[in-house]
Order: sequence, then structure tokens, then C-alpha cells
Amino acid sequence: MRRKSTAIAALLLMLVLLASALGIGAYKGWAEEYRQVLDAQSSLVDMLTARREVGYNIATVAKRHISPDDPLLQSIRESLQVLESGESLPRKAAANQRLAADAQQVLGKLESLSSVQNDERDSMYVENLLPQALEQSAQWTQETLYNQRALSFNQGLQGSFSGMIARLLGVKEAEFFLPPGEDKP
Amino acid sequence: MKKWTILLLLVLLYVLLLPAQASFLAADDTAAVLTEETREDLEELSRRLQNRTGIRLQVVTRHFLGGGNKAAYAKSLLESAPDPDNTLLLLMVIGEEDYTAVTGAYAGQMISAAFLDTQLATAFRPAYMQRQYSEAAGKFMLAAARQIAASSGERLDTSGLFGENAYATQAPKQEEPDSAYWWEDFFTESAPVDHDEQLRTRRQMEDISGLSFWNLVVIAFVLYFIFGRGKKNWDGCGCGCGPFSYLLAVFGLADLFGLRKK
Repeated sequence: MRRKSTAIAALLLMLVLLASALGIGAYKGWAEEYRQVLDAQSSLVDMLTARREVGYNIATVAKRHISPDDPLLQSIRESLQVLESGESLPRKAAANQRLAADAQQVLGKLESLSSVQNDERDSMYVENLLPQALEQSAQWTQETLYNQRALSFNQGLQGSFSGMIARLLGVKEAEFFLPPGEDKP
Repeated sequence: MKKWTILLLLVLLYVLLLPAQASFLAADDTAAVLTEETREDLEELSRRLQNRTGIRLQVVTRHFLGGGNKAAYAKSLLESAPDPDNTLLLLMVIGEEDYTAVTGAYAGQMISAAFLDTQLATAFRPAYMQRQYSEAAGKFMLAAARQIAASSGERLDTSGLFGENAYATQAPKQEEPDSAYWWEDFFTESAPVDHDEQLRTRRQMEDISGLSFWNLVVIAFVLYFIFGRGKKNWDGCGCGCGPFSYLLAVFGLADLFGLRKK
């Protein structure tokens, strides 16, 4: 009887240790994977900073020729605020898209203004420097591998046993850099 | 083999001991709004002021700061200068129609913030807002340089710069007198001509690295002791031709490779 209880206790201890090892291993492994996704996010943040700077520059030139109350300028200002803040990635993705569209419209509007055409410096900015910078920043943002990494991570987390354990232990899915409502990459 | 190893080590040691000369541009015109004459005048003014007071001047132009703070950006530019404490920096942000001036710790003692603000408002801003960027930078830097020189008790010659005293720019270039003997040029260094009273024309900014006369003499004797005093040559003729030949060789090689300080 005594031997039997000892054996059962030993078996239970073994199962507990096994489960702990499995849990710790799953958690550490997936936490490390999540850290790599966050590293990719930091490079995304750098690219968004460049985007934001271009937005500021366009708004600076636009203020000299368009009323500050212009809806486009206000929309640009709001988008810039979102990009600067600690908002979620989906909201920043939406702000990024809005900024790109608004900036293009503002540049188009400025090009047609006689006040810009008569200003050598500002016409150079509107026709050359700022469109190039906007296009360049758009390319950088599109080329980010963040969404691919996030998708790969989330699929692994969902589709594996260790991922299930890691989720139970608190490892979360990565956010996509996509506006709310858009399909996953 | 041992001698070559020692020689190599000596050369490496000498190179390591040479002070690093950080490059410095008095006119960092990224926005390309300053004329070439203005850039040259700024370089010359900074050089003259540095000779007199140790303070350097720098003008930096940018199109935009992307929403960044101009004071913080100017401060970061100042800190990346070769000698931040002794630098006065003027930042012109062309696309934002904004500007600021910052000074290092020691330069700030030579010129007050109030003086800078006054000059920015009176000498700089009117021309700047008219997009006369060269004129604005020139006027401000001239005023600042004179103030720094006055604070240091030094006399600063600003003739020939930024259109002042036009005759000074047309005066013939001063030439050094010919040597009385042909060997004087070979063995002596060029006399320094950076004294303000002697300057009549603009000079290009010079690299001040290089080996001086006494550096070369030391190198020649080190080489002689390493290579020239082997057992075979121990009993030399005693006329000094051994060390003399090493001196000639070292000076010749230094001139050939442009290593001598001018």
C-alpha cells in the first residue's frame, strides 16, 4: 500500500514537472518570437517617423498659401497627432493612409495656386522636394516586413500545441499594421 | 628583420600620436542657398576669428526640420562640432522661415544671448525674410565676430569679407621673398602667414596636419641609429656624412609624399 502511494506520488510529481517544463519552454520560446516581432515594429516606427516629418513639412508650406482652417490641413494635423501618439497600430495605419491621401491632395492644390507658382522657393518645394519625400516615405512604409512577421507569428501561435500553451500563459497575438476593417496580409 | 619591426612600430606609434583633425565646415549649406563667395567669406571669417580668439563660427542651412524643435536641433549640431565649447552656430531653416543661434560654453561668455537676439532681429531677420540668405548670414556673422573679438580684447580684420573694403580683395597677392641661398627652402619651414595685417587676399582653408622640421630631424636620426650604425659601419669616417645622408633622404621623401607641414 505504501509502495503504491509512493509510486503514485512520484508519477504525479513527474507529470507536474513535465507540464511545468512544457509550459516554461512554450512560454519562453513564444515570448522570444514575440520580441522579434516587436523589433520589427521598432523599425516600422522609424519609418513612420519619416512619414510624419514629411507630413509636417507639407503642412508648413501649405500654411503659407492655404487657410489654416482648410479641412485638408486639419485632417493632416489630426493624422500627424495620431502618428505621434501611443495609439494602436491599426489606428496608426489608418492615420498613415489618411495622411498619404491628404498630402497628395494638398500638394495638387498648392501646385495650382498662383501664389505658389509666383514663389520660386515654394514652387520648388511643392513640385520637387516634397512629392519626392512623400513618395520615398510611402515606399519605406510599404516595404516593411512587419506585417509578414506578425502573420507568421500569429499563425504559429494559433496552430501549434506549444502556441496554445503559450497563449494560456499570457503570450498575446501581434497586432497588424493595417487600418481597422482591412483583411489580414 | 628586427630593425624593420622596430621601424614599423615607431611609424605606427607616431601615427597614433598624431592628433586627429576633425573636418570643420564654417558653412554647412545643405539647402544650397548661400553663394560661393559667402561660403568662402564665412570660412575666412571663422579662420581669422579662431586665430585671434579661438572661437569658431558655423552657419548651417536646412530646408525643413520635419516638425522638430529648432533649438534642440541646433544644440545637437553644436555638440557634433569639433570644438563645441568654442563655437557659435547659426541655424537657418529655409522652408520653415525660421532660424536660431546657439553658442558653446566658452563662446557664450564672449557674446551674450541678448546681443545675439538683437543682431538676429536687426541685422539678420530683414534680409532673411527677403530671402537674401547670403546677406543675412554675412551681416549677422560679421557683427557677432566683431563682438567676440571686442570681448576678447583683440583686433579683428574683416576687410575683404562680405563686400567690405572692396579694395582689399583687389590687392595683389603677397608673395614671400626669395631665399638668399637655395638650401634655405629645403631645410626651413615656410613662415606662417596667418597674421591678419599681412593678409590681402582670401586663402583657402588649409589642412594643418603634417610633419614639422624637427619631427623630420628626429625621424632621420632614429632611422640612422637603427639602420646606419651596424657593426660594419661602427668605425665610420667621422665626417658626419652618415647622419647627414639620412637627413637628406628623410626630407626628400617627406617632400615627395607631401608629408611636410606647410
